Amino acid sequence: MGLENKKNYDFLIKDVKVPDLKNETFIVRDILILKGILQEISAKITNDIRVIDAKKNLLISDTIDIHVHTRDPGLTHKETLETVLKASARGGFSKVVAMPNTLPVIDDKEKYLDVIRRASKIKGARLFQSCSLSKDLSGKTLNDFEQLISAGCSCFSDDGLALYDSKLMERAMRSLKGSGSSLLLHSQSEGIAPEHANSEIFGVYRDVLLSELTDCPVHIQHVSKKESIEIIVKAKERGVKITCEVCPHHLFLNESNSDLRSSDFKVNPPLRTKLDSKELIKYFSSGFIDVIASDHAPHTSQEKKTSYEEAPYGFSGVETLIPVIFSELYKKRDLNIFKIIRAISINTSKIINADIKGLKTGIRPDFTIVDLDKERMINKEALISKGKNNPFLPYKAECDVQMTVVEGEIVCQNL
Amino acid sequence: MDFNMKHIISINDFQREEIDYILDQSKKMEELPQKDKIELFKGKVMASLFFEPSTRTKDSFISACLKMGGNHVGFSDTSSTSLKKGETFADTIRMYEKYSDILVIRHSIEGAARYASEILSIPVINGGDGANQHPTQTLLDLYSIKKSKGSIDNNNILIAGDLKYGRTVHSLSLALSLFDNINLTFVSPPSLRMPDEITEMLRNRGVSFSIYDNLEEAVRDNDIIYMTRIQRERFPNGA
Repeated sequence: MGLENKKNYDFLIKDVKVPDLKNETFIVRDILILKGILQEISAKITNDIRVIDAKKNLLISDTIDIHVHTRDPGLTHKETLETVLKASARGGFSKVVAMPNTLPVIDDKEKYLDVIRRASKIKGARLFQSCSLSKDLSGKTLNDFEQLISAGCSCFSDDGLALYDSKLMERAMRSLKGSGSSLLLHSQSEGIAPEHANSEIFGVYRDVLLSELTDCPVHIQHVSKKESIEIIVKAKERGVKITCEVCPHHLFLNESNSDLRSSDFKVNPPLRTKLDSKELIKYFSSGFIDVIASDHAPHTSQEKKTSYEEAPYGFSGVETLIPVIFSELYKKRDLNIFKIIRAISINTSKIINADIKGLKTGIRPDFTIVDLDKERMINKEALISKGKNNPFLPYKAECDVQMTVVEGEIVCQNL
Repeated sequence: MDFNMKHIISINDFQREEIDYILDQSKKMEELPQKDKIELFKGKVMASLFFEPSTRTKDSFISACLKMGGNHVGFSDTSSTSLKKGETFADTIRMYEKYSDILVIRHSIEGAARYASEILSIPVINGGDGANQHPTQTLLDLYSIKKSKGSIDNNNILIAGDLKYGRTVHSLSLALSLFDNINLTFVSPPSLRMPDEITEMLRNRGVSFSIYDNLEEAVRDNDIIYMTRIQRERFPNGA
């Protein structure tokens, strides 16, 4: 362990605001970490090691972005494990869930373990790699779930290539039910252009019905239409084990403030109407939307510069999610801050059955500190991610990530 | 009996008593003189929303509606509707809900009719959703069996053709399983056999059935022979 490293494992955080999510209150604390292990958390700690003044900034434990495309292996001109995990840490995430649509697709034990091994060497966010539901994302044969679960994989998804075959989806749900792993579904219907709202709505409806039929918990990715969330709300009310996520771009960007014919705004599901954005925010604030995720989909500017038809779908977003949602939902709209915190931490952890470590002594904690009073102008050049295709930029954030700690180590600090 | 089903979405939603009720009512309606029949749906409007093309199903609904004195609105070609402009299915059907007293829907997507029944307050009849369900066809088949044989119970029924993709044979077989002393004989090329999930369900319900590849071998003492065509349009890759 070098000197530089040692410094990142031994530190004292002074005056950090710790949320109590249960009682929706805050308490200001000092936190002492030695050799990466949380030694003490109390009102006042003195120690002569490295001191970080948190200036009553907000601490969020166990932050996770549940929807990230790493592009590694095979598409490393767009992004690499190194850039995406560092970008995630800069964005305030201590963990991310990676989609399996790399080249090759992550669909067997060997490929899964290779990614996990390479990611573990990177000083950045921790990686939860999902594997595909169907072999090679073909939509034809189901993966060997048992083998992958025994290798440590806990999330399965066909993401952008939705599993259209309802019988196969039902079988996948029956196999994965009770296994402790989670199904992350990009709900979409075959035979309808993916951009058409009906594709998503019917897809969500089908996946909700199959979840109800099989009693298998299902997580619906990036809901963008009012009708989709209405289906989910009804299902939740009758006890179906459904959770869902929304992306910042569907909350804040829509046809009224974005040029939907420009490939810079091409994404799947597409940006919708102003009413859809408004309804998504309404349902988030009333607690029906569990998670906010980035659907971080980095592409090169060359790829995005082509015609609309040719350009790939997707936005880069893991680095801006936290600044954007705290600026837009908390600072500008005054939404309940605890709801926002849950949507990027414990709600997500519960869905993927990740440890909720919190701030117990004796553990290697994962947390992020956010400065809610520091303004920061974010532009493309500032991104660590190779994907500069972020539709919010340039963006004047009304907050900034002060530091990200992963397994008791400071992996990112912004003074 | 109290009949309190509001929608007809899947034959699997029916109990035997409910099927009997519908068949009895149908018989009464069929026997009514035309001057009384025309009063049944007078002043009412049926919306027939055919998101997927169909001639017989659509026109048989419209014909029934007209014979009962009702009127109809709707479409059978989505290219002329606002759907092309990105209107959602929910918006389209909610608009027709305002125009009509009952909705008949055909859609290529499985589950479309059930979704409609959940968001509308008027009755919805499924006119076929993808390869999934076509319940009124099944009710008609049951009615025809009852009319020609006097009863649905105690029949040897042979079902031949494309048993893999033909949704009507799936629904009919499951509906027949609700009746007493039914013997089923399935005849199809090996590649188009009845799916396992259907035969498994029949087995669970204690229905006796046998499977043949060849029609000549299978035909014996049948009360009813039910033939289907090859469902080319539902084959994967259109092959």
